[in-house]
Amino acid sequence: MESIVYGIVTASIILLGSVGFSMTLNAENFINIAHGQMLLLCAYITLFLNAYMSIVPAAIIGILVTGVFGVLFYKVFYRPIKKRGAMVLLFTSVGLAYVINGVVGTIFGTTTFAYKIPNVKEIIPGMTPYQLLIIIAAICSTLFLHYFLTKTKIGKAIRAVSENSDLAKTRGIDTKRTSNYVWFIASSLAGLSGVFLGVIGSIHLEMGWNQILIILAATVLGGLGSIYGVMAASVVIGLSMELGVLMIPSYYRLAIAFAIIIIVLLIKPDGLQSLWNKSGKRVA
Amino acid sequence: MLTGTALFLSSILTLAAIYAVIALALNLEAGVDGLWDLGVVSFVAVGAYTYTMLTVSPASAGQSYIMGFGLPMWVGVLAAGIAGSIVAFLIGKPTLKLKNEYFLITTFAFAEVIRQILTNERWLSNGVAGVYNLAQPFKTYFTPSVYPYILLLLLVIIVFIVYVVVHRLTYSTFGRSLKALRENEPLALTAGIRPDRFHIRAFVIAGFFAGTAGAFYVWYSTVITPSLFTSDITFFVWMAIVIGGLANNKGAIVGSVIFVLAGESLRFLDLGSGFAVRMASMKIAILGLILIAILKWRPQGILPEKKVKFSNSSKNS
Amino acid sequence: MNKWLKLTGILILALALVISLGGCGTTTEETAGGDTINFGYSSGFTGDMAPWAEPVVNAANAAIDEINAAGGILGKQVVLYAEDNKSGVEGSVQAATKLLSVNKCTVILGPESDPIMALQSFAKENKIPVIGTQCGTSALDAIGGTGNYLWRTSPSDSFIGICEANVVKNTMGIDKVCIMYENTEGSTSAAESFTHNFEALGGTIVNTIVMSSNQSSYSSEIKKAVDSAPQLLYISTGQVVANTLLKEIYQKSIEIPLLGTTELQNDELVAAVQQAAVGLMSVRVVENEDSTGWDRFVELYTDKFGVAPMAGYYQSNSYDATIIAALALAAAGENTGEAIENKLSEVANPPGVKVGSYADGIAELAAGNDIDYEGASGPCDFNEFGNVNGPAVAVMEVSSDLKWVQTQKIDATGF
Repeated sequence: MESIVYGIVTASIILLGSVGFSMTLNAENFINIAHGQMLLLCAYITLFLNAYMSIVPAAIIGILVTGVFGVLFYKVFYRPIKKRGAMVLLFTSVGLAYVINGVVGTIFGTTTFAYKIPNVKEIIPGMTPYQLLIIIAAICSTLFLHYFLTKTKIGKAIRAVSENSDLAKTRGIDTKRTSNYVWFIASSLAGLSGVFLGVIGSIHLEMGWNQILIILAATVLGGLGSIYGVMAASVVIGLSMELGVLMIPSYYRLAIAFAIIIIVLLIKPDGLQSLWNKSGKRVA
Repeated sequence: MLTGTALFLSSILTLAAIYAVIALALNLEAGVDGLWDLGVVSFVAVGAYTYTMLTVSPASAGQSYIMGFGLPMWVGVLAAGIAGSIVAFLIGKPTLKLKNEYFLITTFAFAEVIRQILTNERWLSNGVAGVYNLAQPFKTYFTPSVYPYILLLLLVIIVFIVYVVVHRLTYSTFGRSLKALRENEPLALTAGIRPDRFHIRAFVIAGFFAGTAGAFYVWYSTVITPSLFTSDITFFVWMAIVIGGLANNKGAIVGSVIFVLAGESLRFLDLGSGFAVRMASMKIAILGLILIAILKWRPQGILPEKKVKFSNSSKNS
Repeated sequence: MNKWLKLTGILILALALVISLGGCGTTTEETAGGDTINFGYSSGFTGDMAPWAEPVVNAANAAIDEINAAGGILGKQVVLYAEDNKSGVEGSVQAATKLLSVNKCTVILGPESDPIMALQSFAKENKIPVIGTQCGTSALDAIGGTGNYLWRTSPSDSFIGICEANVVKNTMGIDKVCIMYENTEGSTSAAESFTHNFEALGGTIVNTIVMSSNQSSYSSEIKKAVDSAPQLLYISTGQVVANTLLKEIYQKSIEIPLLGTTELQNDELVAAVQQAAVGLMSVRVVENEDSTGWDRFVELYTDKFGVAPMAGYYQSNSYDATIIAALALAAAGENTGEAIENKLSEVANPPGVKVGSYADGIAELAAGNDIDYEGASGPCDFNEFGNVNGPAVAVMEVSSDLKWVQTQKIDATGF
């Protein structure tokens, strides 16, 4: 039973990191490796601000600033080369990931840090108020994103652009504007996830690299193009890690997760989304 | 100063040559064929461990690993290649039907699982402690001050051989078929090219060369530990072929050399030991900028692929 | 083909430019060539070992400043070249090659466990002593020492393991321990050494839990540990895992005593996890009688860098290695790796006049006396394999006001 709680907490952390990533992947068709470093960037900006104010305002400012950075990075680095294809974009984002990581390392140094926050006790086994917040944040951000993309005008425009950007343009949708929204929201969500990682663990230079791989895995396992797929994938990975260690030595925690990913993809080559989404097969 | 720099340069170039072998292998499957393989390091790891386990002497007290037959190096290198291709076959057989991103993450997952096994199964690989003080080829014939050049020469020859083989493959009917599949699969199908058979062949051949590269990597590092085989190698080699020019074999070599040189020559940016730690982070940022700059101004890579003639126009996005 | 040639040309030019630029930056040293003595420092400035990087390089620089203030070595100033080994084997080979061939260093200080093991044949063939300052691996227990060019001023995990096992079994009277370690080289080696020695003393390891690095939660692992009903949890992890693990142990209100490895003895960890660190114990090697080495170093380091050094950051080991190398060079009177190698044991070990600083050391050497350097990290006496042991261990504990305090000092000569 406790393991299920642990699994849900782990799943929420993965989900929180992955929603923003899957948004840029869906809307811009772009595997953004620098997404992991946006987590890191926000964690460190918040850390800096936390020296002058309490964690909540620090995190809010940090997240907004990270969102702005996201838009900026898009305009400076990605938009000019958007026509050059997925590979060029992907490796440009790797380059940018190095730049962010390097600059943060140069400014803050290489030691590990933590926020000034009170220590808390578990309210039920496996869950402190912080973890509860993470679960709520993960669910809310997913619901928000879903609502935003399906119900709001700008959200619908984003989806139209992601399906066919030329057609969207002819319909008079301002693709530049929709892109700005995408990058702001995706980067802010990355930032939120980065702050939470700092809250439950520590802030260090490797945190972005560690996260991006599991984020990539969850997003692909979910099936590209599906927010619910990412949600399902996060739960599958989270639960398989925590339930898996009951049976298999804990050092295989990650290996279990990856083994499950392999098995699922061999059975369902289009990811978990194909379980309910029979027709909407994205042509890769 | 000059001889010292030359010595350091030869050490860097040796490393670049090893990466070039992996890059050539990856280029065949990822560039010529269009496979998004994010697990190429698994072939390198399996090759390296196969080579080591076959060529070292049996495990001594406090160590534990399988085999330790003390076989000659060339047997080890060959076995490393074969092991690499066996792993490629085993991974490729079920996964090659997957599309781009899904294939990417599955191969990545396999590489992680393999590394976890090497890390945790002590009886197999001596675990995280690894195996130390491994032999280098022809070492006994030369003085230590000359040896780095000999190792470099040996690897340059190896890169040349691998290049010739991969180059011939690329421009053979086999290579053309791969490119046809990459550019327009439905059309290739009508021409009677069966994707599954061609993909697995490309994958297995890449596995072979990447496997041998594992052995060369052990020559260079003289140590083997699971931590050598993280996804860093995969990313690195991918970057090398992308900046060198995807599907161009010379590009794979040039990309490897440039990327290693760019990274290592930054060591000469020295502001004194008081700033060394912060500078190390700064250098990562500079390397990132170099990568971004190359991709911006040479998006097809430094040496773009030479278009082979297809009867119908290719659809490049 | 023409293009190909042109590119290669550009490439070589670019490299030459970078190298010459780098050369310009350090013209004063380079043109002088033989006018300075160059020491190398290789450590992980990026990657997993990065949290230790700044403290250890700072400590080495503090030592270099002292040496130069005392007139340098053999009348020459010492320059420290610090290179990033990227916390790994490949980077270690590159860093060492550069330090040796480009910077003409005659000694390399600093490498951690995996990085130093990659230099085993490199050091011997190139006759350049490599002195680890933050490496505990048991693999180095019997391969170093004079003629093998591998040394270390940080105690081996084997020795620390004996001390920890003795403290836990005999001093604390605990029989049942659960081990939790991260599956990296450094952490594994420490945990295995403790296990081996604790069982040899008749203790029982009720469970051994191996943890993957960088997980966001270790709840399942902690549950397994608690279920095995140990009297003490032995924790061997890096900084990042320790942060998460200690927080979670606290959150679960687990009252089992905790013993961490020496690496966890640092103020950042305590500052990061706050109350969760209270009661965390750790063992470190110290001098037997009330030696002033550590206190002197604390003062010196704090003055210079504004923070106090911690045993878990290995600053004292880094400082000592630098001083010992300098003294060995001074004693040898010749700036070659081989000369330093042959004097390392002699200046650090008894017999000889006990000296606690570089200035005292060269004064005694000038007077024609044999010296025995007593350092900040302990007596710094190398055994035949280039390892250091200590005469005593201190048990450190995080007090309720979040400070590391020494609770006990135990004679280790009988271990």
